[in-house]
Amino acid sequence: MKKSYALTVLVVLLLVPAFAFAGGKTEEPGEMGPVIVWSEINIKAPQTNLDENFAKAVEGIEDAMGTELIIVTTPYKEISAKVNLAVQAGGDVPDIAQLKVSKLAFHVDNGTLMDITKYVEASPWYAGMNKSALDAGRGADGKIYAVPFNTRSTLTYSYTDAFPDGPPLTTDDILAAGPGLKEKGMFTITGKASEQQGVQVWWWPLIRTFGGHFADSDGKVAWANDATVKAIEFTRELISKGYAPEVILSPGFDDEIPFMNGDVGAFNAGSWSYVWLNPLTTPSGVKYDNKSASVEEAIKAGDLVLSPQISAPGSKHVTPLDGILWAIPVGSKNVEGAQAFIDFMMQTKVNTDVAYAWGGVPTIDAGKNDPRYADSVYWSKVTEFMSKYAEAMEPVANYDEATLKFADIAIALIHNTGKDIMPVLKQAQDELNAE
Amino acid sequence: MQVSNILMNRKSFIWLVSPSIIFLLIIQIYPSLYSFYLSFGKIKGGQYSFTGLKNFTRLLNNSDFYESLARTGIFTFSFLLACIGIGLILALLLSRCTKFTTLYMTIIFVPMVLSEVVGGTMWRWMFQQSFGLVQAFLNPFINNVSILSKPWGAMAIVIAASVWKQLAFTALLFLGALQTVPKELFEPAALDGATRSDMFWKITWVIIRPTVLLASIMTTIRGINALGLILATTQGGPGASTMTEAVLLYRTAWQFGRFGDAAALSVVMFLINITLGIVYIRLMRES
Repeated sequence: MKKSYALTVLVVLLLVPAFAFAGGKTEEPGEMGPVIVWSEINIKAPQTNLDENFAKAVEGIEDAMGTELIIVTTPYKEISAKVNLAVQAGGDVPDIAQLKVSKLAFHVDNGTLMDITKYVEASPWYAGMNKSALDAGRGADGKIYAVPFNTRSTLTYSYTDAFPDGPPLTTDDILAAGPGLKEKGMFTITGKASEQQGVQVWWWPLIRTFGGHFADSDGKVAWANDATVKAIEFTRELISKGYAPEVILSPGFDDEIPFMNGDVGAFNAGSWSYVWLNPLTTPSGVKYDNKSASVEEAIKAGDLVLSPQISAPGSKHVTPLDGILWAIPVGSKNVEGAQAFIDFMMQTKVNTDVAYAWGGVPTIDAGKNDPRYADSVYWSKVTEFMSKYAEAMEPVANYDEATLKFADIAIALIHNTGKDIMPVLKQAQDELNAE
Repeated sequence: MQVSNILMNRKSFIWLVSPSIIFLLIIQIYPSLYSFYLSFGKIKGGQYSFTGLKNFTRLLNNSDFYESLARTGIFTFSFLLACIGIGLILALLLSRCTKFTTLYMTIIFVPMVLSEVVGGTMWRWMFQQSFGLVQAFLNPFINNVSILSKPWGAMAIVIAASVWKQLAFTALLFLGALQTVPKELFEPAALDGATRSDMFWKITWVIIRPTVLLASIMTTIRGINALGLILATTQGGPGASTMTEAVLLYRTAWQFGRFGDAAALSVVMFLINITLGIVYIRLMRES
């Protein structure tokens, strides 16, 4: 009797978790399940300007799709790795993932994303889409693996207080302005030089403008070149002479704060940076505090000027062409819902609103006629610089590892001013390419 | 009486213990064995393929492995030294304290119950260049150098943060051990002219030494495997200056998706932990 009682207790203990894990809603035949999206957006409890603007842009999406939309808020720099991990490990994958153009080659190489060529070419928005933007969603095999919903690049924001004779255009201009600004207690330039994004927006454009490459045509890293040495030497000089705040080398986005406070003359910004630079205080103390309109207001007031990303003396400016994509990972349980999501997002107005919210140019051409783009000083400059100077970074097969490794060694070399740069670059390059 | 009857019955005993055994097998033994299995292969597209010792060869030829091993050594040694040293001092002070002991214990205990992400973020903000409280206080003395942006500074901050979080554990262990030291041993020693230092090293230390060794094992293992606080404070940066073996493992698996390589590294870390554990246990037996 006692034994059977103990056995019953044991069976119940084992079955309770089993039932708990087995629970869950099942869909009726023909009913579409929820669409699960992994994105940096927090739509239910908006935290930022981006969240708020995105939430407004997608009002009514659930009615249009005929099903529930579940956005799993995920830090932007973790989405790519998590999607890869979920697919490789055979875990639960989202129906839609927000990815960056620069990481597409990595995902195509790993077989993480579905080929959506047929669906895209048959979709109602295909004809209106900018074809060069669409190419950013293609793999090397020509198939479409993702739909870019905006294109983005970088530029330089400069305070006219700090650069009264015009914005700095070259690395020499920055170094020449350094002593004067330092005397006034200011830094000359800030920007993100750490982590993967630092490679995209700081290191790669410098390497290109100095005449080098990050990777070769096979997707292997090829950074051990004179241009990379010059890029690191330039940054090393900025830090050692106190012309750039050391936070440019720290993880996160602390590099923006000195510019927002008016402690730095120029900022190596993204076309999206205006979304985050609020409030903005010029070196002479004028404060702009109107959410994502602060930058535009400062430009109109003549306190801020825009110029292309700085170049090597006598060289062409280079700005990285990037963008954000919607992709359907392999293993998505609701491909139909995922396509309904993309169809909704690629309507001209929604695409324009979402691209604007994220600080990029819409990929549906008609969106560029929207007054927010057509009548904006900011966007006219961004599109001008993009059309003249934007280049896509060479595809790198092991993008995550290569970019993180490069950022690490570049920062270590900046801190270790006596160390010879080329041998370190060569060793790291050989190690990565051997894998 | 009834309970003891059940326990005496071997079959019932096995039935009653089996849920714990099954639970342990599922959450501890299986993942460890699976890691070992993964370390000899690679996973692509959800498919495993056997690659022999390739992952280990690649690991041993990778400079990141040796650099992060050196950083792990620096981090763990400093962490251990500070946790044991400060923990012991705190325990000695608390054992002599007669007032507000509960208050002091609560203050020391708070960091331990905070999550690593909260603790790490707090430390990161304290040293933030523009509005960090500690940074602002130190700025006049260090010429506005951003401590968190310096490799030495970042390492010092993650060590300090980790010690701050672990201190309650060692202090509580030592306090418990100090309370087992018989007070009557000190009186004759004092009559024989022993100094405070003599009494500490020849009486107290001898009695609490096994506890110190136990705390050392636990703290060393914690130091080698420390991850959450480092990620929340510096993310392994600036550069790779706080990238310990655990951070490298995290990056390799979760950021680069190279599970085979990460599993090989986890096997190496397991061996390091086991070796140190054996050394400590031998020392404990000798003591």
